Amino acid sequence: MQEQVNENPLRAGMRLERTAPPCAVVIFGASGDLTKRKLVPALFRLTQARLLPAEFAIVGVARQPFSDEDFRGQMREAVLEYGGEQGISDEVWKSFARGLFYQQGDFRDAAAFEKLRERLAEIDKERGGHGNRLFYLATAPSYFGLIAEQLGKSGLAQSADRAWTRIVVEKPFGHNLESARKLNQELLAVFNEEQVYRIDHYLGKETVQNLLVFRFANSIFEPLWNRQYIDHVQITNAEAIGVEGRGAYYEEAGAVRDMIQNHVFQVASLIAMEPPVSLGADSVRDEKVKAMMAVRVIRPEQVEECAVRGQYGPGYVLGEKVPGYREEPGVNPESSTETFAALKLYFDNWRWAGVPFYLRSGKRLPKRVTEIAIRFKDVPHRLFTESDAPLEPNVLVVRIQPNEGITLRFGAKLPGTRTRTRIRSVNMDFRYGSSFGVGPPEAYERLLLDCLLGDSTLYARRDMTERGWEIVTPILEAWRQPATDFPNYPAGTPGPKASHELIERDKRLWRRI
Amino acid sequence: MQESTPFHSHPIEVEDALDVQAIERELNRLWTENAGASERNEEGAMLRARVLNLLVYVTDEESLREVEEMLLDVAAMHPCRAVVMLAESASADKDIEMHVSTRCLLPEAGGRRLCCEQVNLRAGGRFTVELPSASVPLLVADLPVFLCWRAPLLFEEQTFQNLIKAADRVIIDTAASLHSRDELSALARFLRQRSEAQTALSDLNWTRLTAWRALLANFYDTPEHAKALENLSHISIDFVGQKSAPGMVAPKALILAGWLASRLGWRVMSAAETVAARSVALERDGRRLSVEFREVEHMAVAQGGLARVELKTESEARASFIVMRAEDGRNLETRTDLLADASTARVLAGGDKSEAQLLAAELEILCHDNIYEEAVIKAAEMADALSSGHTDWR
Repeated sequence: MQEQVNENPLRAGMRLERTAPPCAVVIFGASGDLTKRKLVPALFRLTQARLLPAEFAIVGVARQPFSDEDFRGQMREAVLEYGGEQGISDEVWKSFARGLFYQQGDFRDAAAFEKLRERLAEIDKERGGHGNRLFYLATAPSYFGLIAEQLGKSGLAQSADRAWTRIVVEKPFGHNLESARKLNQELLAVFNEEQVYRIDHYLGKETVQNLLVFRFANSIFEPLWNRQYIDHVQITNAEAIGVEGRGAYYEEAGAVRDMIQNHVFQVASLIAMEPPVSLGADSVRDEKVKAMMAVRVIRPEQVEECAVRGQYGPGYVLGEKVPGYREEPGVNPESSTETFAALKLYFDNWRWAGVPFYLRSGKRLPKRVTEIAIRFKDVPHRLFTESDAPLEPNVLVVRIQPNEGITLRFGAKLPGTRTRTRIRSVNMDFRYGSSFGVGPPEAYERLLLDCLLGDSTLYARRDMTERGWEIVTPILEAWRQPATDFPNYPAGTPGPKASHELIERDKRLWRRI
Repeated sequence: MQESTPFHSHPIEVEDALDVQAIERELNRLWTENAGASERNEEGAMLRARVLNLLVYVTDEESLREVEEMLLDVAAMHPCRAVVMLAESASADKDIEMHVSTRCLLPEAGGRRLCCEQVNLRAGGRFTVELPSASVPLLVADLPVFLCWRAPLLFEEQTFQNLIKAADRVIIDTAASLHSRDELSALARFLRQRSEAQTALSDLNWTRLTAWRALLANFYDTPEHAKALENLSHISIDFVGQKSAPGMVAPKALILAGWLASRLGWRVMSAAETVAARSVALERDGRRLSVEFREVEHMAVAQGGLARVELKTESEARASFIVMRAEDGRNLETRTDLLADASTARVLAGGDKSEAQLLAAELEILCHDNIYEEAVIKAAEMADALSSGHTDWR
């Protein structure tokens, strides 16, 4: 790996953050949504924050016959529309756009990769680059293996002397355990594990990163973070939107593949993990994988008891009438793809034995919310027997979106001079938006910068992705059978009746969405 | 910035002794009224938030008005209890008057109204010395205390000493308060005497330099440039002069030079002056470096601001690294010229931040900023050399 000046004396102190070294970011699938909505706006903001060097370059690769100027024009509109910029001065944009290039190419064509190699060498010469390369696969998953192979054959996967080469792979990482293993093998035939960055943008969110700080930079929570004090954990990932025109993709995915196997499991691992010995990438990821290895895999005969699937029908969401999933464009009118899934999992280890983790994810639910709720056990002995209502349990809620923050609910005495003590729950709130002023940065900014700096802490490791697939495989196998009751929840409601039964039979309740 | 509305402001009579409880009761009453009004007007629930205490010390009405305008923007980023002291020492004797108010930011849709509180204390003549003892008891326990000092820098003065004892961090602005070499020397002396356990110091003039420093540091990030910069022979800093300190090199320019010299290990040797510029000679390991300060005019740069910084090497591998303010003042431009290679230039959005933004940035830091302190000490050495002419500073 090429070294930046390790001890740049001018960077000493707390105010000047590390910047990425000169490199070229090659985005395969540059004509797609991800490039416009997330990647280039994030790179633009990083440049304006002085975190990328002057020699930085972005090369978009796709099949369409665009020129550099076409691409620059498209990206300017994208940055204005999705980058949160009120306006960009011409000089600032021109300066950034000088580092934007486009290379037309078909991923199946080896000659296209040869041309790309030559182009990158020219760009390095023009811009003073050092041969560092980041290949970002923003294409359909079916191209991942092919592109990796082509990069290998063309020599692009090999780093030039003293340079580095990395590859970023978007989710979904495989379609099932077998395809995930195959994809890993294809990538690792060309790259080392250290070069592979499997992105999960939830890990770039401030509140998700704050879980590590919350648990391990405070001494008061960790002693309670176990089966002695916690009754159960709920993780909810609810979306009000439907498939938004991506019916054809979603038909092949479903809620488990799209959200639970990756985002939700990443979050669960941060809740369940043991404290790491350091904040090194592998120290943290070792503990996350260790936690997931403790998950009790659901046997085929237990799927019905531990997992629920649902599909939304027509209904009303946020005041608007919406069609059912089967009426969405690109969706089979008899589809059995689940748009909702709820699971009950157990971590069989000393910390969590007997504590259920209830996970749910779905589309067209009443509103958008992603949160983790740690519900503590009831008090062992009830002193306030005369209170007019049952004592509510303590709940710690970590809200990932919207309104990122943490809330602790506890009981307080209702003011008054009554002979009877009446207790009500109050919330102690911490919100990123109000405690630290302006909102947190975009997840992709943090993740891209980390990758450019060679920090893989917030990226999924091979064993984590494969373990996620191992856990969900029995469920996916069982759900190959067509669903006979779909659709089974109207859009705008909190999910199918069976998902309530999943938790209520344990005498617990889902939090209201 | 978000829209805001002052809710209520209420004067409180101060008897012979300050009644802190009375003030807290008054604040609580204001909060209760605000919450009720908010509910009646269907404006959504209120969120009373405080993450720090902000003491502000000013000495005239105009500064007070500037501070009041700035405070709401600051509170949006760092909800706080602000205690603002107006000390009119030159005026007639006037006992402390107190006003208590709350101010709220209008929420985004579905959000809660974020409200902060402000206590204003005003005194004149001999009563100004009572302000610290009146303001310190009003601080919220268990929250960090920042003192924003917007008065002349008189480090030995009792009021300043009393207030910094209560503060975790003092924030000054040398752009406004440094007008002479003696004042810079006094600041350097003050910093040399501080220990890590004592109150830390922030300087908004230093905060304004962050973008410049980041871009200059960027040049060192690649091995080829680092090599060229090892052979640095000349630094030139163009600044816009200050009417309040004619003939003095702007503090910002001196502090930037002090930063470069202290980070790179250069020792101040002597100074010289020509019609066009003043320069300081530095030395390290037998090698010499000159730092040249040139007063220029620039339509879009405020007094005391920087217009251009150039780092040059004169060895075989001739190179030049430039950071400069664009003509319209909104952007910063950089250029790298290496003898062997084509030049690289870029433009970044970099308009001056507002004072509220600068202050908010300082409110994120609690520890000592040793880099700043060393930069100021070195800047003072340079200012001494410039002032005394050909002096070998040791």
